[in-house]
Amino acid sequence: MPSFADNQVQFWIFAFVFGVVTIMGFAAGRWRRPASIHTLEEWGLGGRAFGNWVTFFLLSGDVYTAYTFVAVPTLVYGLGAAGFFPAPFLVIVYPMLFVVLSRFWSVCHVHGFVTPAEFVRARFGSRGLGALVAVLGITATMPYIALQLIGIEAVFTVMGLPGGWPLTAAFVVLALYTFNSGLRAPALISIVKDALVIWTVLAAFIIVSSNAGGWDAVFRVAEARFASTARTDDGLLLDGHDQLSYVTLALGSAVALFLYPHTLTGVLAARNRGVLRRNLAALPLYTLTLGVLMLLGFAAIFSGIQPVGGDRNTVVPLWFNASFPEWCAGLAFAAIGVGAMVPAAIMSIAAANLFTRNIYREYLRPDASEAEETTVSKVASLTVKFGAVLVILLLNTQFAVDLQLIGGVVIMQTLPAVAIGLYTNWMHRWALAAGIGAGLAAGIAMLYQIPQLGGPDGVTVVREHFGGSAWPLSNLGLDTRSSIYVGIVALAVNLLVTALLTPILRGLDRRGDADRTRPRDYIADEGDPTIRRMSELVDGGTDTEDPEHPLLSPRPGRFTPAGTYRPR
Amino acid sequence: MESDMADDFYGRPPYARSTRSDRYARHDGRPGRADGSSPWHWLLWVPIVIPLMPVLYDRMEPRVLGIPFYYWSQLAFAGLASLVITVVHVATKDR
Repeated sequence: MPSFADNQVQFWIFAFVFGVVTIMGFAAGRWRRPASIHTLEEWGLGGRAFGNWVTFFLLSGDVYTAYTFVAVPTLVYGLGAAGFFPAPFLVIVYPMLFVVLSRFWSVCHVHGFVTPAEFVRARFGSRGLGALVAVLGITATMPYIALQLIGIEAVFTVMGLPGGWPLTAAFVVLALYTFNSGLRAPALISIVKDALVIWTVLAAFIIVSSNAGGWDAVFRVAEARFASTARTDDGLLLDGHDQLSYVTLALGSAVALFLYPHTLTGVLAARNRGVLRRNLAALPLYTLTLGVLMLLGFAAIFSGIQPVGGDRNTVVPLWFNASFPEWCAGLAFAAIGVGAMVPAAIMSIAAANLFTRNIYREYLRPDASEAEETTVSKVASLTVKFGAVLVILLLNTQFAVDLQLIGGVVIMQTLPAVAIGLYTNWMHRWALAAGIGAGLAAGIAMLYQIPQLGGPDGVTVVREHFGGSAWPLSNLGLDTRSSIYVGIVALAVNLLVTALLTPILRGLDRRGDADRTRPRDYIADEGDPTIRRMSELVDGGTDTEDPEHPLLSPRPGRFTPAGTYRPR
Repeated sequence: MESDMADDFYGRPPYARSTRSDRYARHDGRPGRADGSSPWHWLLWVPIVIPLMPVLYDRMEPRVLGIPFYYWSQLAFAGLASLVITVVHVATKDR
């Protein structure tokens, strides 16, 4: 076990960065501060005014999380080629997002939506369906937050700290500045995160490249290691049987990433469509940093790293500690620590907004004021984070990993309502709900059937159920070793049920068009009269009436934020 | 239709609601203008389809810096995606 005495330098560097980040987190509340932060658009979306750079940091901080940095290289460490699927996943997701998210941004800005579930509620005219999407979003996000804690816990383990109180302390600090500053805190802190991550990645790449033998030697040693195991699914290349699960996992992860509420929160905070589209063009390059970190899985095999106490998540921090000078390892640990804070904050804000807008305001207090909404969201974000800490401390971390596995399948079921809903309102609301139910049932039933393999030879059944997300096709009686990602099958079931039930239900239900959105809402941009309100919020307001659109003109007193916002 | 005006369930301000002609117009949920239908958008399929075809890159050679093709090519797809999205963005932004 690593001892704290050997890691004092690392710890103090980590603590110093953590202190700086905490100060920034609280100061973020004053950053481009409106006179009142007590509206959900200010607290939960940073005033919807983030430009190119802030949006880049926010989205990269959101998508490339601490758990990714810790768990994905670990997958590569254990499996080789099959663990590399996040590389294609984080490439294909951006062209998909480029087309879909502009529409999402537009419709949400015209209508003032803060959550995807609000869009669903308006599009299909069903608050029940909106609430269902909100519940699925919250359910899928909670274990994701817990995973961020697992990332920090791995760093603490390697520094020789106990897991309990430092983890709690870190999250109390995070909870307080998120409570205070809302989305502005992670937006500002993610600048520090990205600087640390890029430093760490460059240092790691240079160190491995300048080793005796360089990457060549690293891959030779890794190849020998994979050849010596009894597993058939590891190695430097995929074999034909592994390709189906590789591709479906990449595709499924891309779909899920788009639908996670925290991704959409980052998207809605962008100032206009151009900001969003430019960012989606630049973000694939960030995948290169993750790529280098994934290759560290091989470097860890080369350096003979053995996980602490069998906890594989410690592999990457251990490699940093063994290969970097002490101060540099401290910075790498801080990168993982801060890399957990940013997404955890955004995720808790996203989950809190879902609760506030789609459950609290929909069912409990329909006439809640903006200040009341903000307070509810703040408290909900605290609750979500402490829930995650309790899951990690009281239950075990494996539990969070299992929940996350299910979470991915859960969030994918919102695809027909949220993503396809951006293009058509053909689907009937009850067909969508039935599709979600059928997809969830199929997905969880399949996950239940998957055993976890492990042990010294890697083929012993360690646990009977929820051991992974690759469902063997031999379960269907097919004579093959191939497997398929559960989420894709579950989504197919969902789409099938939705498509079959819609014509039937539309025949029975003669109710008129319930859609509250209009075709042109999907292409509006900043400067469009329907979105003018947002620009006014940012720029301090104008009093000019628009003779062309009397209905579109701001009404002084109620909707113009006159006197609410300080002119810049 | 008047009840539609009063029932402002998500707090949408009046000027963000539809104009009069818009409210009476029937619509089928499809976009009003050709959004995302520029032929340039077909290019976006390239960085989606290629990374999903492991047969293309599931090989060791040629290596770069000692890194097998399988690994560096998949990272190179990131550059490809970035390039394609930039081209599509620039070509379609002045609709």
